[in-house]
Amino acid sequence: MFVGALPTIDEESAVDNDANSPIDCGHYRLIGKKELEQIQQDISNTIRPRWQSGPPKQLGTKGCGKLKADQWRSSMEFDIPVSLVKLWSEAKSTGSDGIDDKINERKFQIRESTILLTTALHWATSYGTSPEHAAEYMENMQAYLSSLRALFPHTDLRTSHHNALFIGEMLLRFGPIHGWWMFPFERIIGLLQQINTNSKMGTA
Amino acid sequence: MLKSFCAAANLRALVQSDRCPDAIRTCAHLLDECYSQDQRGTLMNELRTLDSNLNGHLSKQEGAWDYDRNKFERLEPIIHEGLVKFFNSQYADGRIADTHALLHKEYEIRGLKIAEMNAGAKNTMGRHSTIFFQPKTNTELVPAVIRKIFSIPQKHGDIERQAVFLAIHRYRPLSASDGVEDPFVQYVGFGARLWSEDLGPLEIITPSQKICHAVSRRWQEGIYVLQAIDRVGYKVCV
Repeated sequence: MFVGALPTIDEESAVDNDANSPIDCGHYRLIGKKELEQIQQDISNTIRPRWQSGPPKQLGTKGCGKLKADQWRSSMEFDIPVSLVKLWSEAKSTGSDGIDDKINERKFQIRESTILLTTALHWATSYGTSPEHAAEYMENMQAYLSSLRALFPHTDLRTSHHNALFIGEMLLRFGPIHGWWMFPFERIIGLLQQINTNSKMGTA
Repeated sequence: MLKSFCAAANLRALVQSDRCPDAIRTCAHLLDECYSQDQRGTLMNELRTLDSNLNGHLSKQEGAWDYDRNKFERLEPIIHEGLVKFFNSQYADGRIADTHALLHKEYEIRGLKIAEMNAGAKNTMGRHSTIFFQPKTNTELVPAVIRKIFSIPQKHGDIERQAVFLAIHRYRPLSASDGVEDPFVQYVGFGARLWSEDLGPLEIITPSQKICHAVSRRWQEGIYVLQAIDRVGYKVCV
């Protein structure tokens, strides 16, 4: 269901641009240690119903492990977009070489892209469905994928991105996504994974 | 695994159909009771909420209410005053608002557990008391905090039914005096908005109104960002 992850740029990939070369802010670090700590702090300060599985408080570190689909969902529905809006709404230009403006522009585009994904998610996972739900989902999903192409022109889209473009039609054909999504299977797989075995297939 | 999934789905359909033997129907009810406390995870919550919504589960309010008046407590004057105003605005039969009521720390509405703002331990307080609700039909959802949940008996013909009410305070929308621009205004589909920490006057609402949980975070001093976890595409107040 979650067709994209929050675009981040590793510290290692941050390079010094040659002053004479065109500015490519795709290599600049947008979420560093300070920003990550702020996101973690935000997650801790979020008040949510008990039934909702929020993201781990140490999101982004090795210690938080692999997120469950449920945690990805709540992260993308509220925690990450709100943190990005908060972090990047106060971005200001400080330099005269135009790089700050370009980085701010890129932050703005990533923020917009994330919100598009969140909005598509909202329409796709509604309890009810209608031509309006399908149309809204498709509009936001297509805009999200277009924004990914613009932000990361050298990165190919994945199969899951392609699959996501069929969900609008499937909402109309099969009804609300809860009736046919794979969460029940994921849950059973999770239970099966907890069973100890001797790793020998077909033997007791 | 697929066989088990289909078998479970068929069993559920059988239990809900008229041809289900009484013995199995009784067992199903027991199973529901056994697992009713398990609210963990979005999947389980959604299964329960959908089940309640789709199957139109009879609420306690629809039958005669067998209550013990000794368990009733006096309502705070401000809540009683709110109830009187609510009765005057909603009912033309001049019914009188009781000064005593059965108070609920928690209550379940269509599979959704809500709680008064002081219910729960320190780390869980407020999680189920911040809600979005629809003030009137076809209006947008607005955020509020639940101050009290209470029941009073109400006569319907010859029988007395349980009438549940929620005493709530709405969050106040941002105003120019707050000096903060809401960055979420441009994202209509996202559903989050900034609201002032200041609460409005007490209002009384009923469970028949659309209600959903909320997720919230302090944005800055005196201001919260709130988002409805509505799942059905209600429109949220802008």
